[in-house]
This record gives sequence, structure tokens and C-alpha cells, in this order.
Amino acid sequence: MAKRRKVSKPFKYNPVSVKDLLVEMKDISELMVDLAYSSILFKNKEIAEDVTELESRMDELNYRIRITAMLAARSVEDAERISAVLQFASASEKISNAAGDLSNIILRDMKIHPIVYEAFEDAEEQIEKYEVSPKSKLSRMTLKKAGLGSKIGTYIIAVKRKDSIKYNPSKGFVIKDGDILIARGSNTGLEILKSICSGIKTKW
Amino acid sequence: MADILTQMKNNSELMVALSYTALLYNNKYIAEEVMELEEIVDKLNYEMGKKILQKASNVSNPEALLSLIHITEATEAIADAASEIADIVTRGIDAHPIFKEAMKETDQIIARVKICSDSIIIDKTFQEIKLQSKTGIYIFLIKRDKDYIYSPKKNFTVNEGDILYGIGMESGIEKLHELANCKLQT
Repeated sequence: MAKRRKVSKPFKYNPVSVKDLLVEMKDISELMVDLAYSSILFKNKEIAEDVTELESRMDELNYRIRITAMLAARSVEDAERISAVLQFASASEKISNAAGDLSNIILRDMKIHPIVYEAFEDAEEQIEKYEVSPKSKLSRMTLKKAGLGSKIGTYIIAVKRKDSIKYNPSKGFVIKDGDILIARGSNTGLEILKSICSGIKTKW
Repeated sequence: MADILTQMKNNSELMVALSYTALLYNNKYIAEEVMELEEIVDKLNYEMGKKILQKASNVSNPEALLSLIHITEATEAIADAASEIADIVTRGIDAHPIFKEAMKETDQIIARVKICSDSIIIDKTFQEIKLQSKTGIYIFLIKRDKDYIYSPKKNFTVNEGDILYGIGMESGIEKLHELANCKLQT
């Protein structure tokens, strides 16, 4: 498929808080890196295409933050602080571009060298996917209650339910049996998550 | 060769997490750690480039190496971006209060706690302290002198001067500071 990118949509300015823009940029850029690595790991084109789509969302956010920033400067002090905001925005855009380059490997059907998988296997942060069994305590639980991050150090980056994928699910997200959780964490944490998803482990 | 790429991936991801933390606490120590890691990643990137070129001259179809080049470049770019974020802090621009607010809204608050003298957890293992259940903080990294220890095990013994990195809620982080007997470095 041809790469769809940098198609500038007509842009209407409506005021958004810089804080909200920053939060979204940080979250999306982190998510994109995780997804890009998983697209390579699972050789999954759908995920790789989603990375491309998120990349254009990042472009838009970056545009918005620049405009908002320019409107906000009233003094030299303001301008100094705002330059920090812009530096942050450009850095997260760089991260998202790097993620886009990673997922392009899959979109372009590039042959992946075995050394890549060897390297990923030994890396500290791993990505795995597990299906939630009806026997699992996670079923019908919110992510907040599950507390996987602070208890076992694993983060749910996406949940696949039927044909749709929910990225960066919020704390209030309710897990259902049959959901496929795409999680990031250390090997130890992911092993625990695996047994929680299958229902073998009921306390954590 | 795989081990070099593994280290690049580990370090670049660690740098991103640390650079956000540096911004959240406007903390120069953490920002400097990001810069130290950046130098390491630069060296690894150079090594990796050399290795790829060597390999390319020995194989009949060097195209298979393209994926390696792309991934190496991407991890290097991520590391660079992280050091740009840390640079906001080292430059001493009074980090916009907006960063503080923005970072707090994301669920993962990262704590950096140094173990100071007379801390009650020195020479104890994680299992003995029950750090996890007492504070709700997941320790994912320890810096001991120049070394980084990833995902410490339960039998890991805490030393004076260790720097613990953990993820969790604000309240647990306060508790962790009490145990470490150290004030937050600002």
C-alpha cells in the first residue's frame, strides 16, 4: 500500500490547553514506539498501519501546539518558557517519526534479519499478547482495580476485542473475557500476567 | 551484534522514561543521567554501524541487513529525542509548570530515590522489606555507581548510595522516600 502521509487537512483553530496537547503528544509517541516494535515482533501489518495513522495525528498536534504557543507569548520570560514547550513537542515528534520508520519495515515487506529477533528477545522491555480466559479474575475488572502497572510492572498498551483494537485504554476500561491484551513489561512480569490471564493465578 | 542492538534498545527506552521524569521534577541529576546514556548509545551506534558494514562485505545479499540499519537508526533517533527533552532541564529554563501538570496526568509516575546513610532498608533484600506491598511501587531499575541493574529480583540486597527507580502512585513514592531516609534531590 502506498504510504499516506502529510496530507494537510484544512485546519480550524480552536483553543485547546497546551497541557492537554502535551499529555496527548507524550502518550501517543510512547504508544507508537510500543506498537512499532510489536508490529515487527508479530509481523502485523494492521498494527503497522495504525502507527502511520497515529503519525499523522502527531503532525496535527504539533501544528496546534505551535500555533497555541505563538499566541501565548507576551514577554521574553514567556517566550523562554514556551521555547521549552516547543522543544518538547519537536522531540516527541522525532520519537513518533522513529516509530513510523520502524513500522515501515513491515509495511514495505522488508525481510527482517534474524539478529533483530535475537536482540529483541534479550531486551529488558518485552511485548506479549495474551487472551483473557473466562476463568481469569481479570474478566469484568477495571484496569484501575487490576493495578497491573504498580503491582507486577506490566502495562496494557492495547486491547483487541473482536475486530477492533483499543489503544492506551484508560483506568476505567473494563476487561472482558475473550479480550486479547497486548502488554509491555519485563519477562518476569509478563509471565505473571500470562498466568493471571489464563486464570491459574488469582492473586497478585 | 544482537547484544549491541539489545543494549541500544534498552538504553533508548530508559532514556525516554528518565527524560520525562527529569522534566516532571525539574531534576538536573536525572537529566545528566540521560546525557551519560546518550554518549553510551552514540558509541553503540558507531559499533553497530561498523559491524553491519563488515557483515555486508561477507554476504551475497546485503539487502537482508537493511532492517538492521533501520532499527539501529530508529533507536538512535529515539535516544537523541530523549536527550533533547532532558536538555530542557539541563539548560536551566525554569521548566514550565505546565510540564509538571502534564506529566502528572499520565498514569505512570516515576520516582527516583537515593538510599542514604541510616536508611532502615540498607543491607536488606526486597523480599525482607516487602517494598512492593508496602509502597505499591514497582522498582524497575537500580543505579549502583556506574552500573544499571534492570528488574532487580526479590533477593536483591539494597546498598547505601543505590539509586532506585520505581513506578507507582504519589503516596507510595512519599513512603519510599521515608524508607530511603533521603530528601528529594532538587
